Amino acid sequence: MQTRYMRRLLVLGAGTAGTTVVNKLRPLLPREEWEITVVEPAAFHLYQPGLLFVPFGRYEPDQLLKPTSQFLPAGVTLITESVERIDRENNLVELAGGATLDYDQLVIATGTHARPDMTPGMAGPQLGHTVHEFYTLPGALALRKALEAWEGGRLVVHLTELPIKCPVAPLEFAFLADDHFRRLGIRDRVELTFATPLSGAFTKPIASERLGDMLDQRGIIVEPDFYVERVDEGALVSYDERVIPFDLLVTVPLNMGAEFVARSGLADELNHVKVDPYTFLADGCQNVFALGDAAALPISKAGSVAHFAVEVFVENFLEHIDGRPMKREFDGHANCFVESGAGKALLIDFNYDTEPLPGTYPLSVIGPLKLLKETRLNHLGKLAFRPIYWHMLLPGRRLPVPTEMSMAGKEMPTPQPEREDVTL
Amino acid sequence: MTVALIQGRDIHVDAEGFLTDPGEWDEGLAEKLATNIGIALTESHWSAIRFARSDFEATGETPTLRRMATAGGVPTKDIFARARWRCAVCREHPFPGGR
Repeated sequence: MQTRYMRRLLVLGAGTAGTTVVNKLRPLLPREEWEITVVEPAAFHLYQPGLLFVPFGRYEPDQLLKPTSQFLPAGVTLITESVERIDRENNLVELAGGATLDYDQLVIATGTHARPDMTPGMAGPQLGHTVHEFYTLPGALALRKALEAWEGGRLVVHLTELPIKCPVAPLEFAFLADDHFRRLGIRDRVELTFATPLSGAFTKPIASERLGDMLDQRGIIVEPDFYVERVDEGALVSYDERVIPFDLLVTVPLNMGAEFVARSGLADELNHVKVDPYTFLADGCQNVFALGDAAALPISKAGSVAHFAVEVFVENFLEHIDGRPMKREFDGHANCFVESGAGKALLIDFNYDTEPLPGTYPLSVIGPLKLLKETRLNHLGKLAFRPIYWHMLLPGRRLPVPTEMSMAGKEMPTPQPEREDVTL
Repeated sequence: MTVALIQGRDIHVDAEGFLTDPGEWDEGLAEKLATNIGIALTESHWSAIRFARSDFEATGETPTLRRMATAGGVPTKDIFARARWRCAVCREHPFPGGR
């Protein structure tokens, strides 16, 4: 066996996190010391935030797909294959084709994926006909076709279980559907229901109240605490035996990480990698990390989280490979635009400790954006993000937004009374 | 911060009525809260409660329903059969009527 003086960073997955991390690290790791290899089965990189707009005919597939290899820098080897399992004891990754790759440092960035097959009845013959999802490109295109032919009836927008990637997407879909039917002049022929396992519109109280009001204003019926057991023909059935009939169901199926994560002994119940939420080091490992949606973090699964996380990770990684402690701690920063229909959107900005608050979000050049408030500028921000994603975020260029969440511009909620006695 | 007086003790709860300090919970409190919603706790209730509490202690997070089923061996359907107390399982300890 030939002695290998080079060290290898192996990155599994070339989505947002995997692509960004190699673009940031390649210039920082000397080529004579480090080789970087990426394993990704998909030949095309999908701009996932665009999927929301596909059912309404606003984006075409060619606007959302670009070759995976186009975003990987020189000096990075791409292997187009899927992973079978990680052999942590021997620092090896086995590929589906039987080949093995050794690593000195491993980054798992294989994301999370919609799994309609995990809910009885969801992946049956109804899927693509009366049951739809928009988390995959074929799913979003099938839904577009169904909406084009639809003349009204009961449309149920449904969320199976958290966590899902982009937790605001089902809400956005409900808002856009409402807007879509209004434009067509058939809103009065559509009964629009939003069924969620949460007790309100969103996971955090202040945003949940604001978004809940927006659903009310649009005449969208909310069915809270709805934990689906199965999908019957034309009806959702919950564990507590509530039945929601539908003519068209748009569901967000259970999201799960890659199967190999479980086969490698690194997974939680949903195949997400158990990690330290501040450094992303996988539990029980010294040279295995997980970034982006693949990691089980107590914060939303979203591209913005992947982006901020990678910035923290890169600095820590350089310390770690030189045997020094990782000093930076990820704060769980997330932000996202929430499309609300009629050419407007909201912006939310939050982290592990601070829920989304109203106020303003400082931004150079185009000026401050309003938080938790529907504006035209937020909508333009959402649309502008697509070219920013392709040309700045994926190539690892620095974006003009701080990595750590800032309280600047945010309005603090009214403090609760010190003490309010209730006798039971 | 709301303070509820239950069995002569101050219990701290959040805006939604959930206990904020796991240390203020004991089995007597659980029985009192269950009685308030017309439930006598059985061994199957207790096994779910004990798993939820020990898992919270170990992980720092309240187990999801999926985790209750896969790691705790409490079938989801069983939890919903006793739907009125499901919050006791999924969000730490309930204070009924707190909302």
